[in-house]
Amino acid sequence: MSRSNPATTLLTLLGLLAAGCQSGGAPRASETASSAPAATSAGEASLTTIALTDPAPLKSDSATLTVGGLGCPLCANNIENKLGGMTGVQSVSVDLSTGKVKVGFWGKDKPSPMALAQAVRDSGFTPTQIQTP
Amino acid sequence: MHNSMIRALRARSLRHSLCVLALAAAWIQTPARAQEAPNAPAATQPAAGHATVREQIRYIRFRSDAEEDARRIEEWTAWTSVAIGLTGDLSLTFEAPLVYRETDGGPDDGTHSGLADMTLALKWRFFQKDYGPIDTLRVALLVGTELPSGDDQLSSDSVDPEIGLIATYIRGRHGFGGALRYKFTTGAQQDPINAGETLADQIRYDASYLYRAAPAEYAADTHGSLYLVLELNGSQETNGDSQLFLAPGIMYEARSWAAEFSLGLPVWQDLQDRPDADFIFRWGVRLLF
Repeated sequence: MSRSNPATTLLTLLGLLAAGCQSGGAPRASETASSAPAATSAGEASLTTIALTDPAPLKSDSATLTVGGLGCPLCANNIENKLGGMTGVQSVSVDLSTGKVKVGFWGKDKPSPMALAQAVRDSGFTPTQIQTP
Repeated sequence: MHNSMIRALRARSLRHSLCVLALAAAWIQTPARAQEAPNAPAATQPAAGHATVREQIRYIRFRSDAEEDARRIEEWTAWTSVAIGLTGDLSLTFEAPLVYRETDGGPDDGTHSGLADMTLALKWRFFQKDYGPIDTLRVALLVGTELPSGDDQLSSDSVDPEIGLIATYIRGRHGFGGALRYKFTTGAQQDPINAGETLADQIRYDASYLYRAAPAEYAADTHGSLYLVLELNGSQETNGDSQLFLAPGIMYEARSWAAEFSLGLPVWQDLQDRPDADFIFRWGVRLLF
């Protein structure tokens, strides 16, 4: 009589854990910030390509990185967290369909293309291009 | 009757503890390893300076019909894994399984719960080739060791080194994984139940396939993917024991959380030193904010 019913127990666990998962639906700061105009208003036609090894801080208010190896939505999270933690970065938005990562900046201490590229590598992905408006 | 009530209460208490542990882990804010099948390891890891927490609940039912060892065993495990990214291609992983075991028959009739042997491992991704926005091939070397928990029934009281090779290939909607691991066993558990608990070296081999069922194509506003998973998880021990499971499953990955479910069914078991497994349920969660 004391033996548990595995199916009932499993369903209970699933229900409880699913409730926990649903509570994670709230957008993170980086996702909320990613809709900021600063990161989305750059026109593709007017972008200028910059060397990934350039150590000079960027002067523009945004940049678009092209990244390889973004296999899934959780991969985007790695980049959002890594770039989002850099000084001068205000917003990060990852487009999985194109591998484009739009980064918005604020303040005077903006990162260099070299630092952005290294952050992408530290996230486990390959930067192939950086462009600014 | 009194013993049955106590056993039921202890079982309920542990199950509640497992739920609380899983939910607690889920609330921790970390980036996550991605495209990782529920059972097989992947050549993915957290970014440098970040950590991953993964909680998985496992339920396994064993049976032994041998006349001298007839028994039924049910085992619940709350498996917690924490990985820290040391550099872009090197991570440190710590795994701790909290086990509740209910045995009906045999010398260990009754219940037992405690911390089973833990694992500490370094994963070094020594090869990475990204072919495009999504497509990638990664290969990693795994070097680690099993650490004794000291539990009288759940620990081998030995330090068992392990080495392995893991590969992950993602191409469009398809993800492939393969892993081969060898454990140098230096001590056995008093009553081995699971693979790798006898005094024999163990080879573990895994193959996984993940199919992105939805969306068919990523878009700029894609925030989640649903995967159908099929795994083969095998174990071969130097004492001759061998076991192979086929594990269909399902996984959902959002940008801030992931959930996985898998049912492992034995397709081959040749075991002399421990009971056969009927099936394995695995339910895992990774939740990010």
